[in-house]
Amino acid sequence: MDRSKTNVFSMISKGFMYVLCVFLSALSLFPFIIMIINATRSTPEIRASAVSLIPSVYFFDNLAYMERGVFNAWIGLQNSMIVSVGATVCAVYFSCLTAYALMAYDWRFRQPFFTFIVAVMMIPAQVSAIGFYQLVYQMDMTNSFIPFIIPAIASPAIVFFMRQYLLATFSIDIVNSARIDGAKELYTFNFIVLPMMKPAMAIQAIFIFVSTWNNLFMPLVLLTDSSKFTMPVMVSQLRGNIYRVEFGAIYLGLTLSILPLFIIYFALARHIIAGVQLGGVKE
Amino acid sequence: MKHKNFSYAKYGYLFCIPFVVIFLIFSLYPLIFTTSIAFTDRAGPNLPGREYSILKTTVTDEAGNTTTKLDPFGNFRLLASNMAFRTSLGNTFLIWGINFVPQLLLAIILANWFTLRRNKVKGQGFFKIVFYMPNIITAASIALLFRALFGFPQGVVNDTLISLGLLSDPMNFELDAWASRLTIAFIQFWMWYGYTMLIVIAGIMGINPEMYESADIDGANSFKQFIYITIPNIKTVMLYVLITSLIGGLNMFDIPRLYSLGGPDGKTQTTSLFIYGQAFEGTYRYNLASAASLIIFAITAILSGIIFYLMRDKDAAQAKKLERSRIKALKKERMG
Amino acid sequence: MKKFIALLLVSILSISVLQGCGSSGSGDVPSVPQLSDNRVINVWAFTPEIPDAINRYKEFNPSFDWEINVTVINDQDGAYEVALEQALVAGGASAPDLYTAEQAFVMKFTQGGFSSFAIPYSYLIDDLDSKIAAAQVAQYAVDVGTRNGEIVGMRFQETGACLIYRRSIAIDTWGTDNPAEIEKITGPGWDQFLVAAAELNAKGYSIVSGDDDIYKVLKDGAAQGWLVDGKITIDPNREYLFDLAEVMHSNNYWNGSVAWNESWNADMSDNGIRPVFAFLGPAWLINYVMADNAGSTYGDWAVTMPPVPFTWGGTWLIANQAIDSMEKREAVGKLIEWVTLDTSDTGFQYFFANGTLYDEPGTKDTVASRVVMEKSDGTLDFLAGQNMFDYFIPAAAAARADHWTEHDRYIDEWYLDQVRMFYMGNKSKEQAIADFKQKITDELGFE
Repeated sequence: MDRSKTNVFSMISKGFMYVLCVFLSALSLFPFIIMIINATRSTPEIRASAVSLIPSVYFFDNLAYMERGVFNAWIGLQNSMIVSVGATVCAVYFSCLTAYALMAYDWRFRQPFFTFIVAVMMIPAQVSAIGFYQLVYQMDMTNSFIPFIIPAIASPAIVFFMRQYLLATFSIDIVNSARIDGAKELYTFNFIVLPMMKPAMAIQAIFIFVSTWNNLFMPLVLLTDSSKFTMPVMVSQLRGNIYRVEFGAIYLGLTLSILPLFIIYFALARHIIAGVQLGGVKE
Repeated sequence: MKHKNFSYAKYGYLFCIPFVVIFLIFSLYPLIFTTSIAFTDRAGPNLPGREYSILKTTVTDEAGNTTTKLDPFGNFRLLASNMAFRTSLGNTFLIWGINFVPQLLLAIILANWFTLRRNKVKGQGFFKIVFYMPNIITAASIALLFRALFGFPQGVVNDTLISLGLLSDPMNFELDAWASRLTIAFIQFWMWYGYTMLIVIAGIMGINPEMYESADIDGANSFKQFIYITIPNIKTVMLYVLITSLIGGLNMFDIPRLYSLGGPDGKTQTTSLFIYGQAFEGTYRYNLASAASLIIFAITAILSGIIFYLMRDKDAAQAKKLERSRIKALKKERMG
Repeated sequence: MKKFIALLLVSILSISVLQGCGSSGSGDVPSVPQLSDNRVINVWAFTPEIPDAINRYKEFNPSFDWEINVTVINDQDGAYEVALEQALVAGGASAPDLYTAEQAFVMKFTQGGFSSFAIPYSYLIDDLDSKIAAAQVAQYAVDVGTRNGEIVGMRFQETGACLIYRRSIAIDTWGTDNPAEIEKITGPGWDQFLVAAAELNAKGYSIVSGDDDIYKVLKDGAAQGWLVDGKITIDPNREYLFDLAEVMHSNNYWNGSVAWNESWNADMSDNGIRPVFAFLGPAWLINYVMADNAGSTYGDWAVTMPPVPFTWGGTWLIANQAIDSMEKREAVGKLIEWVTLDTSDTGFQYFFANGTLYDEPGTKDTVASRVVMEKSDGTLDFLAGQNMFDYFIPAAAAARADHWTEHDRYIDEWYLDQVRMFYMGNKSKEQAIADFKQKITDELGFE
């Protein structure tokens, strides 16, 4: 009697959760569908109604318009890949390393250093950004990818996340047993600690990759040579005349620029979905 | 072998070197730039050869003599009486609060549901991937989409509400303060709940499954397991979520700028928009912008301090536990 | 996963290679001064329009042996301005030699904070004044590009604006679509305009789409700008917007659409909530916006004088004072002259006015030189064969910009915002004006 009641209750709540999930999925997919449909519509059609579920016949016109200008999908893809992969690798690896240093070793400035990292995160970015542009222009590093990749080595927010993650999952015993086996410290980190952090790394990697890929303002200001344009910058160049926004081509460009993101995303998402279980190595 | 025990600390320093060096090269100058000019008269475009100094005021005493003296906090006083800045502070907290609480709740509920050990959720791989997807689209496209949806006098939302009979005349959402705030809060919620959910999932998956297994043996139901195992064990990750959401919320910029430009009547102007406006638009008041940045920094730091304090138990306990096991290990090693 | 790691490794390798390139390029700046004798002109723009024109010039003039290094940065969120400012300040071999500025931010580079970088045209072009006089350029466009009496910016496109109205609606309401008649019915001035609005309303038409359309026009009718000697000033002609907007709103004389939104576009065809009689704007509004959106109303339009003369948009060309060699100044001067002052049949403006810059016919447009417009063909199918220059030439001559300030792009927005709060019934006029002034004080520091 009691049991069937809970069964009914759990069935209802389960049903509710499924309905919620399907609803949220529809909400999530909606803008992508609009974007892809708009890639097939003409600019006047989009101007008249930006949201439509009916595809049109202007895909190849949009493609033709796109190919007229500086839009070079191959170069854009290459540049975006270099910047995004570079920044992601730097940010994830070095943040793990820094977080590991904060967790595994007992050194004098450990706590002050952590406090410092958290404090740096809190300073609003707007004014610092202008300082950063100045720095890059004065060092004559415009049109170089270095200002996009190397600064990612110092990513306070990701260090903070990795530290919190390690705090919950890390046990010094593993390190100690590795030490007894004679492993070097960096080896221990690279081959014993890092694999444990896969889910955390995967989620931050996705996040950094997506935000670097979509970053528009900074590359607009710092990459002025068309051979160095990233995908979003190329999409922004599709405007044409200042008084005329070529929406059809822009939506096509947006769709193209998002495709690689999906590939990376699905590759990395597996690590979150499959779930790497860490419990086994804990005490 | 023995002296090596004392040298492990050096790896702590060693492994932090890349972070510190890169920080010094790329972030220190912008940071000092930000913090120092808050106390100066640095306003107007940044032209070569122009010099700036710490703010001064002229004081006239009773005898009628005027003297100039340093007044480093003049910019802060100016901000205290700046209505736009004060409104923007209120707006920021309001919009952040409206989106953050439901976002966090939904993220935790979904994360818990997707990590249930018994009766695995069908299609959860799909859901997990899809929920994060709004974060993949650029803020500019999203703002454009929502502007189209809430168009006036014609737009998807208005047309739908009228055909359903819920509205008799089209509503101008753009000119309504609460409609604009709620829309921005909704966009923020919608863009970020998937990310928060993934973070929480990552936290839950780090929990030792043995804890759940023994709870199963004790006959604890999944709700109890959630309260007594999941919640306490994701505290460290939750601390990250809270702190970063607070920082992200207080620095909300893209959507309010792209969707409503801070309008109507400044009701969606966030502090970041205010700071940006001061620094880049109009009269280039870098000094006021950085003074406002420092105020936001102070507010964030105080609130973060409170969050750290409230969440301290687990953090401290974990640290202690680690410390203990480290000492144990050291002892073991010494003996061996 | 292995593939992914391989991809990462490849990327890291390519980064280190790029790093190598970067350091060799930036490390030894002294070894590349040949750049300045290298006959390269750096052109910065926010759209490809001017760079394309310059490339065309090179095709027409093979003896012009300067290499053009083009930088086009979309001004999305003001990125072009930020980059241009940084590049001007940083200077060096890659600094912009010739750059463009749009109406929204041109004053910053010709009269405001960054105007010190602009070189007077008289250093680049001989007999400047007589050439301007010969081309008959509208005075307001010269005023905007003038810094302390010296001309530092000129343009190629004329943006004096007209009333662009629907012929069929005019016939239905007043029995005529003759531009000369309509000019007298809809203007001059706002009283006349409101009478016309009431007559259109009686027939079920809105006179304009929304408040943006009115504001742009009304703004230019002011005798003084928003800031007079650094003090906030509200000209009576601008304050009148409160009353005008309230009448328009309460009588439903407009559709309430916001410029550039979907409804505004829909109002150009017959897809709005109510047919709209007129839009107000320059030739570019016809070419780049209305022609696309008009749908079935294409060819049902005509132009006449607006109730108050006004101007909207435009791109100015500015050269950098840091150009060091006389030769380069001369070359930049040649480009500017061809684009902004050449009135011959092989000058840029003649091509631009007739849509003949390329072999395939382009859009016809209004140009800075009145002389060029007078000898060009401005008939448009969109206007049912009307010669648009008949009205755009006097519209340009009547437009004024002497009351513009560098900060208008922001102040205008805040003003219209407060006017909307007022006519939507959210606050009183006094409160709205007080809030408007407070906003300027808070954001810009003026009292």
